[in-house]
Amino acid sequence: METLLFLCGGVLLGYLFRKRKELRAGVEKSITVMIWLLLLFLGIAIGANQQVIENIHVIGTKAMVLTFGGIAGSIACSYFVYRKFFKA
Amino acid sequence: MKGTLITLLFFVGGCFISIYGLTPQALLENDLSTYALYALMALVGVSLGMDESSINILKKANLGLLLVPISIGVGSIIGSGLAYFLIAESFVEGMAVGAGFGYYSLSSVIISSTYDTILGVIALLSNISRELLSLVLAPLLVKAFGNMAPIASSGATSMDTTLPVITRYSGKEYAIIALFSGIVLTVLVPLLIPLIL
Repeated sequence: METLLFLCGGVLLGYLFRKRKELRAGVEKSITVMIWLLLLFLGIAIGANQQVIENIHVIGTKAMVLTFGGIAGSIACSYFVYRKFFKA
Repeated sequence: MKGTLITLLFFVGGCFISIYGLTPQALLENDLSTYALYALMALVGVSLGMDESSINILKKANLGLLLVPISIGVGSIIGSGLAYFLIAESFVEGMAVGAGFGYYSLSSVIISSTYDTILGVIALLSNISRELLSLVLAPLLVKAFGNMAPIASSGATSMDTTLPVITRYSGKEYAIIALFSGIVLTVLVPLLIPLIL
Protein backbone atom coordinates (compact mmCIF):
# COMPACT_ATOMS: atom_id res chain seq x y z
CA MET A 1 0.00 0.00 0.00
CA GLU A 2 2.94 2.35 0.57
CA THR A 3 3.41 2.34 -3.20
CA LEU A 4 0.26 4.48 -3.29
CA LEU A 5 2.04 7.15 -1.22
CA PHE A 6 4.72 7.39 -3.91
CA LEU A 7 2.04 7.53 -6.58
CA CYS A 8 0.19 10.35 -4.80
CA GLY A 9 3.43 12.21 -4.18
CA GLY A 10 4.24 11.84 -7.86
CA VAL A 11 0.84 13.14 -8.91
CA LEU A 12 1.34 16.20 -6.71
CA LEU A 13 4.81 16.77 -8.15
CA GLY A 14 3.54 16.28 -11.69
CA TYR A 15 0.68 18.68 -11.08
CA LEU A 16 3.12 21.34 -9.83
CA PHE A 17 5.24 20.90 -12.98
CA ARG A 18 2.31 20.50 -15.40
CA LYS A 19 3.29 23.61 -17.35
CA ARG A 20 6.78 22.22 -18.06
CA LYS A 21 5.72 20.22 -21.13
CA GLU A 22 9.34 19.58 -22.17
CA LEU A 23 9.72 17.20 -19.18
CA ARG A 24 7.05 14.76 -20.39
CA ALA A 25 9.14 12.79 -22.91
CA GLY A 26 11.80 12.17 -20.25
CA VAL A 27 9.21 10.96 -17.74
CA GLU A 28 7.71 8.51 -20.25
CA LYS A 29 11.15 7.13 -21.17
CA SER A 30 12.07 6.71 -17.49
CA ILE A 31 8.85 4.72 -16.95
CA THR A 32 9.80 2.32 -19.76
CA VAL A 33 13.30 1.82 -18.34
CA MET A 34 11.94 1.18 -14.81
CA ILE A 35 9.54 -1.44 -16.20
CA TRP A 36 12.50 -3.23 -17.83
CA LEU A 37 14.47 -3.08 -14.58
CA LEU A 38 11.56 -4.49 -12.54
CA LEU A 39 11.06 -7.34 -15.01
CA LEU A 40 14.76 -8.17 -14.73
CA PHE A 41 14.35 -8.29 -10.92
CA LEU A 42 11.23 -10.45 -11.26
CA GLY A 43 13.18 -12.88 -13.45
CA ILE A 44 16.00 -12.99 -10.92
CA ALA A 45 13.53 -13.69 -8.09
CA ILE A 46 11.91 -16.56 -9.98
CA GLY A 47 15.22 -18.08 -11.05
CA ALA A 48 16.41 -18.09 -7.43
CA ASN A 49 13.25 -19.78 -6.09
CA GLN A 50 14.13 -23.50 -5.84
CA GLN A 51 10.51 -24.48 -5.22
CA VAL A 52 9.43 -22.89 -8.48
CA ILE A 53 12.36 -24.30 -10.49
CA GLU A 54 12.02 -27.91 -9.27
CA ASN A 55 8.26 -28.12 -9.79
CA ILE A 56 8.00 -26.06 -12.93
CA HIS A 57 7.34 -28.99 -15.31
CA VAL A 58 4.85 -30.73 -13.03
CA ILE A 59 2.69 -27.80 -12.04
CA GLY A 60 3.45 -25.32 -14.79
CA THR A 61 0.76 -26.65 -17.09
CA LYS A 62 -1.93 -26.52 -14.40
CA ALA A 63 -0.90 -22.96 -13.54
CA MET A 64 -1.09 -21.84 -17.15
CA VAL A 65 -4.55 -23.36 -17.60
CA LEU A 66 -5.72 -21.38 -14.56
CA THR A 67 -4.04 -18.23 -15.82
CA PHE A 68 -5.70 -18.35 -19.22
CA GLY A 69 -9.06 -19.24 -17.65
CA GLY A 70 -8.82 -16.27 -15.30
CA ILE A 71 -7.68 -13.81 -17.95
CA ALA A 72 -10.30 -14.96 -20.49
CA GLY A 73 -13.09 -14.94 -17.90
CA SER A 74 -12.25 -11.49 -16.59
CA ILE A 75 -11.94 -9.97 -20.07
CA ALA A 76 -15.22 -11.57 -21.20
CA CYS A 77 -17.11 -10.47 -18.09
CA SER A 78 -15.77 -6.91 -18.01
CA TYR A 79 -16.31 -6.52 -21.77
CA PHE A 80 -20.03 -5.99 -21.15
CA VAL A 81 -19.28 -3.23 -18.62
CA TYR A 82 -16.82 -1.69 -21.08
CA ARG A 83 -19.39 -1.70 -23.90
CA LYS A 84 -22.18 -0.28 -21.76
CA PHE A 85 -20.33 2.37 -19.74
CA PHE A 86 -16.98 3.24 -21.29
CA LYS A 87 -16.70 2.69 -25.02
CA ALA A 88 -17.17 6.03 -26.73
CA MET B 1 5.97 -6.17 -31.04
CA LYS B 2 9.57 -4.99 -30.71
CA GLY B 3 8.72 -3.46 -27.35
CA THR B 4 7.11 -6.71 -26.21
CA LEU B 5 10.20 -8.76 -27.10
CA ILE B 6 12.54 -6.33 -25.37
CA THR B 7 10.33 -6.48 -22.27
CA LEU B 8 10.31 -10.29 -22.32
CA LEU B 9 14.06 -10.38 -22.85
CA PHE B 10 14.64 -8.52 -19.57
CA PHE B 11 12.57 -11.07 -17.67
CA VAL B 12 14.22 -14.11 -19.32
CA GLY B 13 17.61 -12.47 -18.81
CA GLY B 14 16.82 -12.12 -15.09
CA CYS B 15 15.91 -15.83 -14.87
CA PHE B 16 19.21 -16.88 -16.46
CA ILE B 17 21.24 -14.51 -14.30
CA SER B 18 19.95 -16.10 -11.11
CA ILE B 19 19.88 -19.71 -12.38
CA TYR B 20 23.56 -19.45 -13.27
CA GLY B 21 24.34 -17.71 -9.97
CA LEU B 22 25.43 -14.47 -11.59
CA THR B 23 23.21 -12.27 -9.43
CA PRO B 24 25.27 -9.29 -8.20
CA GLN B 25 25.91 -9.30 -4.45
CA ALA B 26 24.26 -5.91 -4.05
CA LEU B 27 20.99 -7.35 -5.40
CA LEU B 28 21.10 -10.34 -3.03
CA GLU B 29 21.69 -8.17 0.03
CA ASN B 30 19.11 -5.51 -0.72
CA ASP B 31 15.57 -5.77 -1.98
CA LEU B 32 16.14 -3.27 -4.74
CA SER B 33 12.93 -4.17 -6.55
CA THR B 34 10.90 -2.49 -3.80
CA TYR B 35 12.78 0.76 -4.30
CA ALA B 36 12.55 0.37 -8.07
CA LEU B 37 8.79 -0.03 -7.74
CA TYR B 38 8.60 3.09 -5.53
CA ALA B 39 10.53 5.05 -8.15
CA LEU B 40 8.31 3.69 -10.89
CA MET B 41 5.16 4.61 -8.97
CA ALA B 42 6.41 8.14 -8.36
CA LEU B 43 7.21 8.48 -12.09
CA VAL B 44 3.77 7.21 -13.08
CA GLY B 45 2.30 9.70 -10.61
CA VAL B 46 4.26 12.56 -12.15
CA SER B 47 3.10 11.47 -15.59
CA LEU B 48 -0.52 11.42 -14.37
CA GLY B 49 -0.23 14.73 -12.50
CA MET B 50 1.04 16.46 -15.60
CA ASP B 51 -1.91 15.17 -17.59
CA GLU B 52 -4.87 17.35 -16.66
CA SER B 53 -7.40 15.33 -18.69
CA SER B 54 -7.00 12.15 -16.59
CA ILE B 55 -9.15 13.48 -13.75
CA ASN B 56 -12.10 13.91 -16.13
CA ILE B 57 -12.77 10.16 -16.08
CA LEU B 58 -14.05 10.51 -12.51
CA LYS B 59 -16.88 12.70 -13.72
CA LYS B 60 -18.18 9.80 -15.82
CA ALA B 61 -20.22 6.70 -14.86
CA ASN B 62 -20.07 5.91 -11.16
CA LEU B 63 -22.01 2.66 -11.48
CA GLY B 64 -19.80 1.75 -14.41
CA LEU B 65 -16.66 2.37 -12.37
CA LEU B 66 -17.90 0.14 -9.55
CA LEU B 67 -18.86 -2.61 -11.98
CA VAL B 68 -15.32 -2.79 -13.38
CA PRO B 69 -13.64 -4.62 -10.47
CA ILE B 70 -16.82 -6.62 -9.76
CA SER B 71 -17.04 -7.97 -13.31
CA ILE B 72 -13.30 -8.62 -13.42
CA GLY B 73 -13.41 -10.47 -10.10
CA VAL B 74 -16.42 -12.63 -11.02
CA GLY B 75 -15.04 -13.40 -14.49
CA SER B 76 -11.64 -14.26 -13.11
CA ILE B 77 -12.94 -16.65 -10.44
CA ILE B 78 -15.48 -18.40 -12.73
CA GLY B 79 -13.03 -18.52 -15.64
CA SER B 80 -10.26 -20.16 -13.61
CA GLY B 81 -12.70 -22.58 -11.95
CA LEU B 82 -14.15 -23.60 -15.31
CA ALA B 83 -10.72 -24.02 -16.94
CA TYR B 84 -9.50 -26.20 -14.04
CA PHE B 85 -12.71 -28.25 -14.14
CA LEU B 86 -12.19 -28.85 -17.87
CA ILE B 87 -8.82 -30.54 -17.21
CA ALA B 88 -10.52 -32.81 -14.63
CA GLU B 89 -9.41 -30.89 -11.53
CA SER B 90 -11.42 -29.34 -8.69
CA PHE B 91 -13.64 -26.41 -9.69
CA VAL B 92 -13.33 -24.92 -6.20
CA GLU B 93 -9.52 -25.10 -6.20
CA GLY B 94 -9.51 -23.41 -9.58
CA MET B 95 -11.75 -20.63 -8.26
CA ALA B 96 -9.40 -20.07 -5.30
CA VAL B 97 -6.36 -19.64 -7.55
CA GLY B 98 -8.42 -17.35 -9.81
CA ALA B 99 -9.30 -15.23 -6.77
CA GLY B 100 -5.61 -14.35 -6.46
CA PHE B 101 -6.19 -11.80 -9.27
CA GLY B 102 -2.45 -11.73 -9.99
CA TYR B 103 -1.56 -10.91 -6.37
CA TYR B 104 0.81 -13.91 -6.26
CA SER B 105 2.64 -13.29 -2.99
CA LEU B 106 -0.44 -13.03 -0.80
CA SER B 107 -2.64 -15.59 -2.58
CA SER B 108 0.02 -18.33 -2.60
CA VAL B 109 0.80 -17.80 1.08
CA ILE B 110 -2.87 -17.96 2.07
CA ILE B 111 -3.55 -21.08 -0.02
CA SER B 112 -0.40 -22.98 1.01
CA SER B 113 -0.80 -22.24 4.71
CA THR B 114 -4.55 -22.75 5.00
CA TYR B 115 -5.26 -25.41 2.36
CA ASP B 116 -2.53 -27.17 0.36
CA THR B 117 1.14 -26.47 -0.37
CA ILE B 118 1.11 -27.68 -3.97
CA LEU B 119 -1.95 -25.60 -4.79
CA GLY B 120 -0.13 -22.68 -3.15
CA VAL B 121 2.80 -23.13 -5.53
CA ILE B 122 0.36 -23.42 -8.45
CA ALA B 123 -1.23 -20.16 -7.30
CA LEU B 124 2.24 -18.59 -7.16
CA LEU B 125 3.09 -19.64 -10.73
CA SER B 126 -0.35 -18.90 -12.13
CA ASN B 127 -0.57 -15.42 -10.64
CA ILE B 128 3.04 -14.53 -11.51
CA SER B 129 2.36 -15.53 -15.10
CA ARG B 130 -0.89 -13.55 -15.02
CA GLU B 131 1.04 -10.42 -14.09
CA LEU B 132 3.73 -11.20 -16.66
CA LEU B 133 1.27 -11.99 -19.47
CA SER B 134 -0.67 -8.83 -18.67
CA LEU B 135 2.51 -6.76 -19.02
CA VAL B 136 3.54 -8.43 -22.25
CA LEU B 137 0.13 -8.80 -23.92
CA ALA B 138 -1.29 -5.36 -23.03
CA PRO B 139 -0.91 -3.87 -26.54
CA LEU B 140 -2.42 -6.97 -28.18
CA LEU B 141 -5.33 -7.08 -25.72
CA VAL B 142 -6.19 -3.43 -26.40
CA LYS B 143 -6.27 -4.13 -30.14
CA ALA B 144 -8.38 -7.28 -29.82
CA PHE B 145 -10.79 -6.50 -26.96
CA GLY B 146 -10.59 -2.77 -26.30
CA ASN B 147 -9.10 -0.51 -23.66
CA MET B 148 -10.56 -2.34 -20.65
CA ALA B 149 -8.96 -5.71 -21.48
CA PRO B 150 -5.50 -5.05 -19.96
CA ILE B 151 -7.16 -3.84 -16.75
CA ALA B 152 -9.16 -7.09 -16.62
CA SER B 153 -6.18 -9.34 -17.28
CA SER B 154 -4.04 -7.43 -14.76
CA GLY B 155 -6.51 -7.96 -11.91
CA ALA B 156 -5.17 -6.66 -8.61
CA THR B 157 -1.84 -5.68 -10.17
CA SER B 158 -3.46 -2.87 -12.19
CA MET B 159 -2.89 -0.55 -9.22
CA ASP B 160 0.90 -0.89 -9.25
CA THR B 161 3.08 -3.17 -11.38
CA THR B 162 0.94 -3.22 -14.52
CA LEU B 163 -0.38 0.35 -14.16
CA PRO B 164 2.39 1.81 -16.36
CA VAL B 165 1.64 -0.44 -19.34
CA ILE B 166 -2.11 0.07 -18.95
CA THR B 167 -1.57 3.84 -18.90
CA ARG B 168 0.57 3.54 -21.98
CA TYR B 169 -1.63 1.30 -24.13
CA SER B 170 -5.20 1.96 -22.90
CA GLY B 171 -4.58 5.68 -22.41
CA LYS B 172 -4.08 7.96 -19.42
CA GLU B 173 -7.84 8.34 -18.94
CA TYR B 174 -7.93 4.64 -17.97
CA ALA B 175 -5.30 5.03 -15.24
CA ILE B 176 -7.90 6.06 -12.65
CA ILE B 177 -10.09 3.05 -13.55
CA ALA B 178 -7.08 0.73 -13.38
CA LEU B 179 -6.08 2.16 -10.01
CA PHE B 180 -9.59 1.89 -8.60
CA SER B 181 -10.13 -1.65 -9.92
CA GLY B 182 -6.72 -2.81 -8.68
CA ILE B 183 -7.27 -1.41 -5.19
CA VAL B 184 -10.71 -3.05 -4.84
CA LEU B 185 -9.44 -6.43 -6.12
CA THR B 186 -6.34 -6.27 -3.88
CA VAL B 187 -8.53 -5.77 -0.83
CA LEU B 188 -10.76 -8.66 -1.93
CA VAL B 189 -7.94 -11.26 -2.28
CA PRO B 190 -7.48 -12.06 1.45
CA LEU B 191 -11.28 -12.03 1.93
CA LEU B 192 -12.34 -14.21 -1.01
CA ILE B 193 -9.75 -17.02 -0.95
CA PRO B 194 -10.62 -18.28 2.57
CA LEU B 195 -14.32 -17.96 1.71
CA ILE B 196 -13.92 -20.10 -1.44
CA LEU B 197 -11.78 -22.87 0.11
